[in-house]
Amino acid sequence: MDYSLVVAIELVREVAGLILIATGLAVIFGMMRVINIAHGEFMMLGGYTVVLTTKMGVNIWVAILILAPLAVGIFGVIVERCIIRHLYGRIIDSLLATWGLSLFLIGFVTVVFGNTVEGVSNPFGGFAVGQYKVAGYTFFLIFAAVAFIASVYLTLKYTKAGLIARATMQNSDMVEALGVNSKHVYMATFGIGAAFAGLAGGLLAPISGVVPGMGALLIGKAFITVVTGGAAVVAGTLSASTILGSISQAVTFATNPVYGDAALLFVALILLRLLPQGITGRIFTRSI
Amino acid sequence: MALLEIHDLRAAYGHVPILHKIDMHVEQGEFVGVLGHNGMGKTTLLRAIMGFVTTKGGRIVYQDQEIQRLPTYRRARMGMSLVPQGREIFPNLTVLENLTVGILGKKGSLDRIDEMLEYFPRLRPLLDRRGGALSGGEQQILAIARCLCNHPSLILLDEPTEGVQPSIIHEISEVLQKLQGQQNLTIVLVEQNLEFIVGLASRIYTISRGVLDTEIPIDEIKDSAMVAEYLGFGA
Repeated sequence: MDYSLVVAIELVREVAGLILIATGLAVIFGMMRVINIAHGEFMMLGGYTVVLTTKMGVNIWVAILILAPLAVGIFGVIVERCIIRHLYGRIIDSLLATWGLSLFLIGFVTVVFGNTVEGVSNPFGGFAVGQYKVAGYTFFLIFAAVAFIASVYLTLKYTKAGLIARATMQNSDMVEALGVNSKHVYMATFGIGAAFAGLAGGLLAPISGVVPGMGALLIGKAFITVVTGGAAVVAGTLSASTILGSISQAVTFATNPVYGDAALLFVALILLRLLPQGITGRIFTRSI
Repeated sequence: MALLEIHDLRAAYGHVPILHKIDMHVEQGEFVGVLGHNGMGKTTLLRAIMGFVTTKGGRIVYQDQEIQRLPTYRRARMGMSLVPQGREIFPNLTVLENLTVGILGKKGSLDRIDEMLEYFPRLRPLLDRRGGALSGGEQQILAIARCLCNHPSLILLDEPTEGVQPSIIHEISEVLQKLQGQQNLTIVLVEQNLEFIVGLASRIYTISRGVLDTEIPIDEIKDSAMVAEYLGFGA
């Protein structure tokens, strides 16, 4: 019974982790159709922002919840203005440019911090579930993922900014003809997607540590989740994260993490074979 | 006083010239038609006025200000609005959301939506329906209502009757006449539907191979022989 409870908690934590790492990419790739290979490195920068600022004495919650998304969001805006803006509609070019940016960021951070794992102290202790122990931070991550995806949904659905963003991603010319500066909307949307990545990197730092190459480990899962989910940012991320995260973690418990990751890939392949437009291309088609 | 003046305007798609030395003027409150065959540059003319097509020369003066270098959204904020060919409504937004986007560009009041629904009551029961699920005629009405939500002073209408059933064409025609009278709107209408354009416009230009070559008095264009002479097709 205790073991089942621990497995269930870990399944939900894996789903929450996928939601956190995939939502920013869902905004940038799912909404804007920009293949940002450097998205994993945006998460890495969020992690290092937490490492750096906590070493300087900043409160860890301020570092995770405010500074990491803020720093990476601003960096994202700069990247959009300098690189991405010139490459909209040129998928291969944007892929190559962001791949170059990814390599640059890994190299730069390695030179500055070294190729070693930097730890961040876990702000919560653990507690016992029968003979097992569960980290309190796991529950915080689950709560953060729920709050995160709910706030994205509410923003897109019920705010003027969300409505303009959705309209712009559907038809930027028409939005311009109605008096909206679509370049500003693209810049802000990319910055928000980057800020989400920074927040995800900051939130994951206390459990995974931070290393220059961590982005490469996260970006694959994030892309698979977003592509499997389809075009709808919230419904796609939620549905794909739930299916892939649950199966991956269940297989991990039954065997080992390597088979868990393989199972995630295998399920994604089957889903995309059956639903080429992703889950929300067939189901939840009216969802955001 | 002319609201819109175009002098020696030239435009191209890449290296392919489309518009050659266009000269045109539209007075405040006027309803001007542009008549021509497919591929003659009608749509490009409207897109150049709105800023979607980069001009290669000439001047566009709107409200006494040269605007040919301004981006599209700045032109829209000055009071220009385009109802494009193909409607280009936002297919995944509801009708209400489509209308709301029309307001937000100029930070207008939501009361304007109610005002538009008085003119277009057909949209009221469809407010929660996605734009992509509407019929062609309903989409056309939505596109016009969305453009009017923006409080424009100049409306550029690109073939609003294309693929639309006759009853809705009649409805659009009535509302445009009513709006022009009540709100002193200035309208430039590009069309191939002779009956529609003659019923609304006070002056008509013809366009052929990117050249705005003739201004036909409205009385003459009702003469089918005259139309055949100008355009090569009968009324």
